[in-house]
Amino acid sequence: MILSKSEAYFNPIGQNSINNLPIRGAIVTISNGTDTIQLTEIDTSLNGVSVGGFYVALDSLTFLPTMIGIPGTQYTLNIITADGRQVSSSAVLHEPVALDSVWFKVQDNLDSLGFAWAKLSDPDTLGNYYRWFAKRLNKDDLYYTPFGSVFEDKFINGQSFDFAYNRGTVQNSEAEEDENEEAGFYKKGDTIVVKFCSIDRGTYEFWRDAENQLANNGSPFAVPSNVKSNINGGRGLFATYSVAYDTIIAR
Amino acid sequence: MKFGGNYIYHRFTPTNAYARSGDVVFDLGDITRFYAHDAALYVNDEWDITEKLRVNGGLRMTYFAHIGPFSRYVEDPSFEGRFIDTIDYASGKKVKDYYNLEPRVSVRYELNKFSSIKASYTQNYQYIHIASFGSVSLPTDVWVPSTDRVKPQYGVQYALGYFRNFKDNLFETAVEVYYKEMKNQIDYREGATPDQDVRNNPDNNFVFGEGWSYGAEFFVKKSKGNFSGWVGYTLAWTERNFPDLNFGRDFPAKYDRRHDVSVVLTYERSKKWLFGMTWVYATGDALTLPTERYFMSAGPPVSVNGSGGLDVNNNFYILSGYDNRNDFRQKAYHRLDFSATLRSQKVKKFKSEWVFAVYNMYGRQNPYFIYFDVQGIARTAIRECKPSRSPCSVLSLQLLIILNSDQ
Repeated sequence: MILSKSEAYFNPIGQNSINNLPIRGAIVTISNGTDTIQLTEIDTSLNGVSVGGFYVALDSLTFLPTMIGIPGTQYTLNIITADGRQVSSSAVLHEPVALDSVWFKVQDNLDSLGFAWAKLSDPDTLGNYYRWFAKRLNKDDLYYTPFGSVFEDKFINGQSFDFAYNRGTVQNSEAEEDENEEAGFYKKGDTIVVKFCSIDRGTYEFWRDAENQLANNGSPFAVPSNVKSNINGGRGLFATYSVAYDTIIAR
Repeated sequence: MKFGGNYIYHRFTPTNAYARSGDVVFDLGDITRFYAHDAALYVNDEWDITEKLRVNGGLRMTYFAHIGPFSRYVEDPSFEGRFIDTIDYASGKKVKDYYNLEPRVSVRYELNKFSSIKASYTQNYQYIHIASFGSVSLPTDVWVPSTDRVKPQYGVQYALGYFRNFKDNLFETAVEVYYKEMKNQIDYREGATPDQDVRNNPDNNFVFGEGWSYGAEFFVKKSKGNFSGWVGYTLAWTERNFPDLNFGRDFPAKYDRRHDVSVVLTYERSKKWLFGMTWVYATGDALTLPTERYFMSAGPPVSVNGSGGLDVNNNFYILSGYDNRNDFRQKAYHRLDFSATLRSQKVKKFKSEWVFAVYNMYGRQNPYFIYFDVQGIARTAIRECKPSRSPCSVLSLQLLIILNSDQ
């Protein structure tokens, strides 16, 4: 996880804020009800700049996880900063829900460009939430989320249906393929790894609101509002992801 | 004495949704409709108590009934969006009804030949409500009636004024103060989105609060002579409080307008030429701006990669945090308009006028709306959308042909 401060809206973002915003030296623990582990603060670099405030539940030598997620378990996060501020949150790790199938389909008469499609059978209990990530092998550094990456089963409970996603990118990407006619599309020849996540309500609400806020930025009519957070005493998110992977070879 | 009555039958369709994917049709519930009876009787009379004291009083009796067919979705109080029950009402069956009395009284006391005092008390109930989704780019206004959940909006207003004419009624002047209280105001809960109205009753997503407004109005008018016109100035405060909005703190209404000035002057040079000038000034709308910015990595911040190392997620969202609602102001709106009217002689039943008008004489760039511009990742700038600069924004020329009906 990353722990950082927020800053005044009209401050310029510069090296200073990147140096000063991360919160170092906090005591961060996660409990599953029986065991409690303390996260290790790591030094990491981002675009070549050393950044603090990263805490991981990994063994510092072997990089093996110090706690394994068990579906159905509630996890509690507690943070005490060096200056004594306390922040807490909790989230439930849902059962993973695998997609029935995934495929690539060329969109209309676009020669080689199309979307990633999937068929989902939603379990018949209400209260499933999902988030879609995808990554092109050898092309993307990370799993990216397209806009509208989260959805819930309020209107689709227990049904089987097909849906599609466009290609997500890094924020404000200026790569050529994100500015030309290929923007948002997958292409024949891509190998797409889909990371389909079952998430809890708090994670769903956070990303629903966050994506909404970013989409509304600049709308003169929207009444702005805060992103719903599951953090007591702060902004942001303590997220749980139950992951099911699939691979699409686009042809 | 005047009396009368009215009756309206309402039908509202605030939400209508349909969705399918391939052959799969999703259950978005029935179309939500509201049906209502709306009736009123009123009586009004005026009494001259003494030569100097006149009282005008009225009473309006109102009846409003929300009737079936209707399905009330009962939400699980601990789980937004999950429903534990539905209560069905048959066609014509009463869901909820309201009887209310709306008394009003105004008193005028003549101090002397050219000055008087007026005081009034008015009480109103409103059964039709409007609420707007603010969380979407293009807001949707939703009209709903009073229901078992939405109580009638209630308003009470007290006003007191002093009126005086000068120079043999050449000038009319007035000073009025008022105080208004509004109960059962409605709004959507923070962050509500239109999908939350689907397979649900829109009023399940409302929150309720109160509002109040007070201020003073000053007015001078000259209606006789070649040179006439009026000047009005209003100083006002309009605030609201909703326990579930803005952390329960008071906040200004969007149209809270501290200063509002109008100057309207007319000069009749001859039977042919009429010149007019209008200047308006208004405090800018209240608006909410972000106060804080924070970074969120778009997915898990750190992950272990295939070769056993760590990958840091360098894909960040910059999110905004908001503090008090409507805590900022747009710039004031002001504008000067000028017009010259050339009037022709009457030809049979018609007369014509050429109106030469210049709007926004001094080219004031009034902001239409405000948006943010994120420049690189360097900083956020505030931008105002406004008309392009020109010495006179608009010159308009119109020909009016007026049918003279008293011919």
